[in-house]
Amino acid sequence: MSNMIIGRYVPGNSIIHRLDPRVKLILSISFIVLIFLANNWLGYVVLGLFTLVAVVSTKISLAVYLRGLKPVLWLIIFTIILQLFFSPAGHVYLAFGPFTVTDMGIINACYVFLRFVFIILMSTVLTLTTPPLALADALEYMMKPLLKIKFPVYELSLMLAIALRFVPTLMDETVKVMNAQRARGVDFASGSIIKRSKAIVPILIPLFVGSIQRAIDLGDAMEARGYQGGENRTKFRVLKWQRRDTVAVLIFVCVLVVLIATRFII
Amino acid sequence: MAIEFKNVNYVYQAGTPFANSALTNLNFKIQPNAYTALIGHTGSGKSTILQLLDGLIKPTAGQILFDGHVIDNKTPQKDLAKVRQHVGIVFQFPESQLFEQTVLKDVMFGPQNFGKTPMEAQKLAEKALKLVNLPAEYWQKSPFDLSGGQMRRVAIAGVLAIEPQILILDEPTAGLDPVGRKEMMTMFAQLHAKQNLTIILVTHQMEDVAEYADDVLVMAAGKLVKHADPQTIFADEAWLQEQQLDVPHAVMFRNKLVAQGFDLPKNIVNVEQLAKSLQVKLRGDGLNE
Repeated sequence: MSNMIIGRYVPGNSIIHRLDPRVKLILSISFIVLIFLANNWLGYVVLGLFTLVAVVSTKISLAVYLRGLKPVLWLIIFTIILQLFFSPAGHVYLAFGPFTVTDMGIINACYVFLRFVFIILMSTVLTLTTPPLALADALEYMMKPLLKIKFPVYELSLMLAIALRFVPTLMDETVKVMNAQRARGVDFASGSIIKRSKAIVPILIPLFVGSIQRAIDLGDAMEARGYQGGENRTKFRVLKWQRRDTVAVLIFVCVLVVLIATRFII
Repeated sequence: MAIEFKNVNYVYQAGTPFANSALTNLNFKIQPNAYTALIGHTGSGKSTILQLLDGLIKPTAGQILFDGHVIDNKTPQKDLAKVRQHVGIVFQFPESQLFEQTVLKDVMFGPQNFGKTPMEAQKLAEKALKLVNLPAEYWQKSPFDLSGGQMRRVAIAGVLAIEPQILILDEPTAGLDPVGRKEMMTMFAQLHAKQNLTIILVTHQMEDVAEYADDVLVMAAGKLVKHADPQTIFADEAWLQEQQLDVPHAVMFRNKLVAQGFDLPKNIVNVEQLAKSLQVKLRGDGLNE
């Protein structure tokens, strides 16, 4: 678990850190859509440069990002192999049985690889530079229009904020219970799949029981402090749109325009 | 069973931006059948030492000599499992480790993991439950139906049932009422005296240190800053306060009396010793008059 980089926040004070979380969230999502606009090498160069600038301006070492790529490495390799060997179109270089390696196949494999890398790098930029609670705030803000169709926006964002807050607590609790059971002779690291999944029970039950107890306690504590529901509450953390946020959006729009242009140039 | 730490270092998440050095150059030896107290303020590395002692983690650098066996960075997990069989560890708030349908089954869980047959495990479990003073009418109940104090007893019985030679206690009395606290500490002291158990106690209760321990390790910021008997440790009140620790009430009282002109011996650490020397002192003064 200690190797997971995605979903972790590294405190810092870079430009990206100081951006409004709403901007970061919207831009990251739009970026994923943007990636599919690129259909030639020039487009991917533009996207690559943009990603690189974003990564470098977070002032977090590149090694951190590379480690974030590691868990999905196998998925990337698997998809590349599929693309490489099963693209029937284009000039055929190699053919044996159902497998064909064509120039189109190679190009597609490269594109898929780049898409994966860009998406993961950008979402890592988002999570490394944005505290989870700020993300929850941004989501709440973006869901506001849904209030019109009676969607429980406040409740959902409260649940999200509480869930995010308790992720590290639950992780600690998990490690603690695991250690306690290991000390009592449970072996998580060896044995058949059945034996290993049975070893999960002594962790899961205490965690469930602990979570229920914690939920009861938290509910009581919230009620005792006058919580009555999401409507008509004031906010402590108010999100403020600043000039750098406008600049960020403008840069993104520029990249978008350039990217669309590349579709016509080549 | 002796344990020796030789230049032990431990770094959490080594090689990542979250790397965090918890222990640096730790050297100490725990004698067989010793009652050792491990003190130091929060975040000084006590819990990391406990996990090293139980083979739950391996030192990043250095060696732990465990009854002659060397444990270092390269020791395979399988060998660590053997260590765990001889070491029982009662974690903070151990009641959160209960999971079985009945109290008895939960206590049997440890022995069964270490290869005991259900029959043997049941015998060990019953013995352990008697040790922690839990009446037999509770043995077939669900552990989640018990009170907090009773759950704590069940959890401790679960550790005692594996018959460890070394018992590690991480604040075993935190959150208990005074009676429960006294009972539990007395039980551990008896195990130490009668069954030659080596005990390592992590605590913030200086009274317990003075009452039970015969060896004290003081930790600060991942380093061992003092290793001595309680008399030596508690002799220097100012130094302890620098470490954000305190002396026991008996010592505090002695020091106040000395400041008022009483001449009392320096090796007083608990109430009993204080009472005795006061008695001697008052009688002696009375005779002189």
